[in-house]
Amino acid sequence: MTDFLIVAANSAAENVFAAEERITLSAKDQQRLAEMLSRPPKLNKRLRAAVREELTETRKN
Amino acid sequence: MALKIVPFEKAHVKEGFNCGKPELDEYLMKYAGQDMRRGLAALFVAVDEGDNRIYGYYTLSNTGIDTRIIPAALQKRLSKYGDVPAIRLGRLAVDQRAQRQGIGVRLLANAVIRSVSNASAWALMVVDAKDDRAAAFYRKFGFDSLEDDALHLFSPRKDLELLFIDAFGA
Repeated sequence: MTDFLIVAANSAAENVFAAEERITLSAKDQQRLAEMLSRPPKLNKRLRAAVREELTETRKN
Repeated sequence: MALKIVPFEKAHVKEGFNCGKPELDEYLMKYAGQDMRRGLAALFVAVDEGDNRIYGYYTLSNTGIDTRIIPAALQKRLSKYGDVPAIRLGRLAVDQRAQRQGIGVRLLANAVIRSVSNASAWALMVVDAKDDRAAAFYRKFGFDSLEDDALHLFSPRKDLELLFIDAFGA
C-alpha cells in the first residue's frame, strides 16, 4: 500500500483536488448509494489490471 | 509515442486537440487553465514525452453528495453531516489520433491511483459520463449507474482501495 502511495503522489499539492459544487440525488438513488456503501467491497479485475499497468508506467517516469 | 500522465503545465501543447466532442475540446482549450488557477478543478494530461503534445486529459475535483432529502434512518447509513464526501472525475477525453490505443483506460487508472492517494476523506468516486457509450466504458470497470441519471456513475472508495490491497498484498 505504501509503495503505490509514494509512486503516485509526486507532491502533496497534486493530491489536493479543487472544490466543486455538491451533487443532489433523488431519494431512490440516495438509497442505492447507501446500499453501495454498506455492502462488502467488490474487486473489478479489469480495473485492477489497468491500475497495475499504470503503476508500472508511473514508476518508469 | 511514449506518453506520461502528469499535472497540466503551460509547456504542454493543447493546440490541435480534437477528441470528437466539441465541448470537451473547448474545455481544454479555453477553460481548463482558468479552472486550475481558480481552484475549481485539477487537470491531468497524457503528453508525449517527445513534443509535449496533449493526447488525453482528465479532471478531478472534490465534491459532496447531498443526502438530506432521504429518511433519517437511511441518512445515518450515509452521513450524519448531510453530505457524503466524494471525488469527481468530471471529464475524460482522448484525442482522435490516439483513440483505440488504451489511453482512456490509462487515464482512468491514473485518476483512480491519484484519488486513492488523496489525503482527504472521501467515500465515493463519481464519474460524469458524456454519453451512453462513455457510461458503458465506466461500467466495464466496475462503476455503477444511478437509476434516475445513467450518466452519473459511482464507485465506493473501498472497491478502489481493494485494487491496491489485492495488487500488493497489503
